[in-house]
Amino acid sequence: MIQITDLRKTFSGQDGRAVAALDGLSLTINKGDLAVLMGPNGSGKTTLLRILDGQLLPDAGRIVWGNSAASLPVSRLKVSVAHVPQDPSALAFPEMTLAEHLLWEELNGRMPRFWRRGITARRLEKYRMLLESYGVPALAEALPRPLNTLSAGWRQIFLVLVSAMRSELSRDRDASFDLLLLDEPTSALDAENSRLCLELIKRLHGEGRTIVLATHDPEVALSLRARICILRSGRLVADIPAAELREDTLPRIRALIAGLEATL
Amino acid sequence: MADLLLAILGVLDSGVMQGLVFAGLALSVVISLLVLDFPDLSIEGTFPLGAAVAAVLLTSGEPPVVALVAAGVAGACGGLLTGAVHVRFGMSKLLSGICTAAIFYTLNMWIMGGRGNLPVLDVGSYFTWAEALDASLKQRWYSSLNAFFHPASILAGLLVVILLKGASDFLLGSELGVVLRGIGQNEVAVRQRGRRTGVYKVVGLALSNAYAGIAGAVAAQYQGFSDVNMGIGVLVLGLAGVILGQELFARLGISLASPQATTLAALVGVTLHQVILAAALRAGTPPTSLRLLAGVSLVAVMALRRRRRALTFSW
Ligand SMILES: Nc1ncnc2c1ncn2[C@@H]1O[C@H](COP(=O)(O)OP(=O)(O)OP(=O)(O)O)[C@@H](O)[C@H]1O
Ligand SMILES: [Mg+2]
Repeated sequence: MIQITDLRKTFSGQDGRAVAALDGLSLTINKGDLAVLMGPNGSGKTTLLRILDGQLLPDAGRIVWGNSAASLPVSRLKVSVAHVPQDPSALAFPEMTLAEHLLWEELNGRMPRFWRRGITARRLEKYRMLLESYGVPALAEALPRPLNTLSAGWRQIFLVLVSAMRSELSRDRDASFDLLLLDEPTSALDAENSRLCLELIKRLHGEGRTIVLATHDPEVALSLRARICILRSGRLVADIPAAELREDTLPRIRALIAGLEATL
Repeated sequence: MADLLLAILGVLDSGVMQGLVFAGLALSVVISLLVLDFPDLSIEGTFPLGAAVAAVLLTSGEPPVVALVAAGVAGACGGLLTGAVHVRFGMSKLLSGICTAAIFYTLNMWIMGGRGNLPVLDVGSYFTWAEALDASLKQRWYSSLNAFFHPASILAGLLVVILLKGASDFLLGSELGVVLRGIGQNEVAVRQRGRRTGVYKVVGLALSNAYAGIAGAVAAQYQGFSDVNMGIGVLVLGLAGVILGQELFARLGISLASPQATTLAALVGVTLHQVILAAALRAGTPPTSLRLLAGVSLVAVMALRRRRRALTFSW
């Protein structure tokens, strides 16, 4: 369980004016949850995800991970947080191959050895099998290609997959909490890849992964049958459990979000 | 006709020899610039540092192998300094390299006993045997010709270069190499994955400057002296080699998608560049204009590149 209480984060804008990206946000995410964050542009979704993965420190508030007494920082806890950012290239290596990205995950948290080969035939075979087991043989074929030679959509899918495969790639880590953060994973995808991506997320959820996903597309939330958390100006304004999702929820969510104004 | 042939052979001979002498510089630039994305100016200080250390050790009777290794270690220390200044004190990449180069200018003079120049001609160096062999080859086969070729010296130089290339390929293809390349590609992403990038940068710079130091030691032994000013412009030499090699391989359609190919391209490039410079010398360019020529040829290659894109470090 991740218990977020009264989280605050203020940025100083260009003109020196303070922007409250998170303004007293409280939210509880249970182990195995699939929570979808929605809300207009600038409502604080990305900021929340960046705080959860330890990139940003909040100004105030507590995040309690599982039953650990400590609240922060994430880097000190036995927590594995995989984050696919809104701009997926931000945390990727554009000219490195897909295989090398998988190797990065495999090396996660361990010293790289100068006497051990990086990309070996054995590793390539392992990565190929893994990608095929996730139903993307096209990516298995593309293992020796640099990431920036992939189309934006495939890049996105690949990076979601890499983050998802983290636990399979580096078995020796003993994270007590395994969280996957996805920031608008389908925004760059065509219908087919969107479906593929959602299927992947469903599958990961089915395997018991805890996932927090930000999106603007209510269809995504509906097709995932996920809990929907709606943010406005850095606060939680609605929290709809998955069980309450019905056919008529979609227009209600639309209306709810449309009524909220966007902030820059 | 025979004269022309001899001239061409002479140019090739001295160009290839010089290329092998400067090969370590090209590998150094591959590691610092292509892998770490660090335009490292400190090699203008660590190249002559390697030369000075080697010259001092040789004149005090140490064997050439010891001189080469010590020059590598000394160069690595220079890289450590650059890395530490950059990482610990947040000095920019360019400035920390300039700083190291300046510091080592004076240090190099101290190492050579307060002199700016230290000859090693009379003490015997790595190339002594090879040169003796070259001389006897001339005696035996072409003593009547007005030319002198260095096949044995070239083989001796090639041996060092093969060892250097093997070591760099091994390191760049290792897990460590993947992490070093990641830092050059996206430092933020590396840090985000919980790695302290500073340590790796320092390691990479030490490695790159070790190559520069070894190149300096090879140069001193081949030229027969060490000079505090021999570092001026060596970054351009290494850089020109890397760029020329990448362009050549790209035009020939040879994939650069491996550490082996990238280092090979750099070595071919630096040799080709030296052959061009040797040709210019032969055609009557005064040696004092060589640096001008080195710089201009670098600009020319940059301008003539088919695709005006950043250098590749994808493999
Ligand atoms: N690094 C920053 N510097 C200054 N202001 C920032 C920074 N990051 C976010 N903000 C501000 O914080 C607020 C929340 O931004 P955030 O990126 O979290 O919104 P979001 O909900 O992800 O929006 P979107 O739907 O457009 O992705 C915005 O007003 C934004 O301008
Ligand atoms: Mg966002």
